[in-house]
Amino acid sequence: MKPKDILLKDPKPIRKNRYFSGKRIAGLSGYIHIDKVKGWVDNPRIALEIRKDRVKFGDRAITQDEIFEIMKRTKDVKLAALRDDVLRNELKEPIIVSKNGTLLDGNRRFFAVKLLLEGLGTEHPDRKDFEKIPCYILDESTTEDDEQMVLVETNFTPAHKIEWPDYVKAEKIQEDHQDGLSIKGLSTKYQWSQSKIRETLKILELVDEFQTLATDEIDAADPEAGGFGMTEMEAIAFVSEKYQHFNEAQRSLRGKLGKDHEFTHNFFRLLKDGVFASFPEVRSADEMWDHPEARAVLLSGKPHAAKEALTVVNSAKRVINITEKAEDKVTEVINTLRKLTSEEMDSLKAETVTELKEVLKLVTDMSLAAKD
Amino acid sequence: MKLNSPLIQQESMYLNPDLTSRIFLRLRESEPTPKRGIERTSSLFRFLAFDSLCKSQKRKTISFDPDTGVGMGNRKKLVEAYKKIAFVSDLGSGKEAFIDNLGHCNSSGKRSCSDKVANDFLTVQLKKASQSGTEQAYPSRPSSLLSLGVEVYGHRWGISKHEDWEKNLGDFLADRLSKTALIDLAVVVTRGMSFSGDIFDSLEKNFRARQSDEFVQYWIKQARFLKREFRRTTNLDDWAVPEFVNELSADEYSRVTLDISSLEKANAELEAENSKLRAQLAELQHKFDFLNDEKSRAST
Repeated sequence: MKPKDILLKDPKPIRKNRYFSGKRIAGLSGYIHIDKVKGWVDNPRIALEIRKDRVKFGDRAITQDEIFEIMKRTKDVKLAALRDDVLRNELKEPIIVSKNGTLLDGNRRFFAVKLLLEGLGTEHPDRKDFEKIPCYILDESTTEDDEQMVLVETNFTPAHKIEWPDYVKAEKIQEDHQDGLSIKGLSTKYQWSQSKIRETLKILELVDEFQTLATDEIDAADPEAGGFGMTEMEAIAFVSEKYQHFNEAQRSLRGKLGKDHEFTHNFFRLLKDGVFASFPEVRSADEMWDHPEARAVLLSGKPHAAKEALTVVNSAKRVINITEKAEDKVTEVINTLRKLTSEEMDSLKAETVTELKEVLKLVTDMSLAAKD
Repeated sequence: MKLNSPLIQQESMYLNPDLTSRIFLRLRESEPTPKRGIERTSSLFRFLAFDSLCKSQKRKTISFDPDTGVGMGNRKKLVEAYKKIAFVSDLGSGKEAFIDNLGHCNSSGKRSCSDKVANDFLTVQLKKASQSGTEQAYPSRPSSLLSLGVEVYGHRWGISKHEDWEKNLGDFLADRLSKTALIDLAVVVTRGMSFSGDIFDSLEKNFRARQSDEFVQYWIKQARFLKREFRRTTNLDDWAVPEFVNELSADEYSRVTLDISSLEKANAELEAENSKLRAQLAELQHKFDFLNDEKSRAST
């Protein structure tokens, strides 16, 4: 079926070019009946949820209805909120479909309308209004690469309401890289800087390392050094949720992660146990580990152990800071005194000299006594 | 042969040379930079050689003063200790093949193990430190493992371990093809020694015979977290062989060296083929984009 035949005849579709990632793409703007839209069953946004049900589905392809059910139960998708918005304001932003009617952008909008229609029932007088949705369909001349460009532009750029989860984006980039796409190629494809692509691949390396350990069996002979015994799905769900913690760890702890294996293993374990609640705690994990008292707190199993360990590290820093400041001040005074010329010394008042003598005696006596 | 077969219980088992060379090869850097790789390997081997001297002399600081008999003796011992780790095979005419970069074997015959210690390290680095009047951290990058120019008997010809060596050692084994480089290193370093029982127990025992207690403690503490991965990524079915295969013999190492050379050659050919294909692909992509643009222009 030709693109123009997929769209409704009324109102008449208009030929229109649109730009995606700087490339002009030809298409038609009009309305489509919801039944003509093929939902995007490979949408990475819900890939994690689909994997959860993989056992149920087996190797067969997942149907649109099953995707609909998954979308409904996935909280992050916020389908009900969008349905309510459509009900109040109708669907304004057109969905984008490929030349054969497969959704490229607007999966949430499409399923939100389906949810709305499900709620309205077949006899509702307004049903027909909602069945027609604004749509932009790509021209017959467009290629798979053009479709890919639309996908990237509409899901990787930050102007859209809900982007794909970070972990899903990162996985997609890693997948392409493993298929041989260069950093430069990835940067062009996803419109991300090369440094951001490199960073993403490094985060994924760390994530992979965690997943290997997390899904490894618990070692009865040496439980502290063994795996965490998580299922693959549990590990994926965890890294997806904590992706930004891995991001922070990759930035801040690269001097220690993968080099100090005892630290790496314990860091992953503590992260898994939820000990690191905030980014500053992750950022300072190496300092906590290197400070004996803080390390003991960190490994104590107490709730908020990382918070407490961070306090230990920060107060140790403050003590060092105060000591260094006092040292600097005294050194400055000593240097000033040493640089005094004989004329300047002569010019000092008698009471100033007496005071200086008293102060020097007091400071030296107290400092020596403290050291004894 | 299985790991726990009765044969393993016998005394005097030896590491299978095939396993050793496979493990050796995976110690290569994941993104090779030859100069950096050679620098890191030299620094690491110098540290290990020095550590083994600390073990044999039961000292933490050792003098390498060229003006004393003791110092000169220590210089020779350091070269020998380095050779134990790096030497691969005798190429004849006083030339030798040796490991100058982990995962690679230098068989050009242009340099030798003693060059790496006597000339490069003692005559240049240590001499510079001895004349500077202060201790010098060595190497300066990626981090330090030794302190050079430490005062011994009023002269600054001493070497000791850097105070942060434990923190820094991981830098020298980072970014390798292997994720278990610390255990792999032990396999390579102790390759000529006899084994019995469990492979990890044997590695520990052999390391203990050669390296200082503090180094062995560090190794045990770190390697503990790598054992699972090592077992997963290493086929240990035939890890030991009953007869002693002298891996330091010219024949055996020529074979290993040959393997490495042929692998390097194959890699280089593959890489060349890949870049040719990549260039063709880029050209096609370019043409495709151009035609597509033309088509879009024509349609509007």
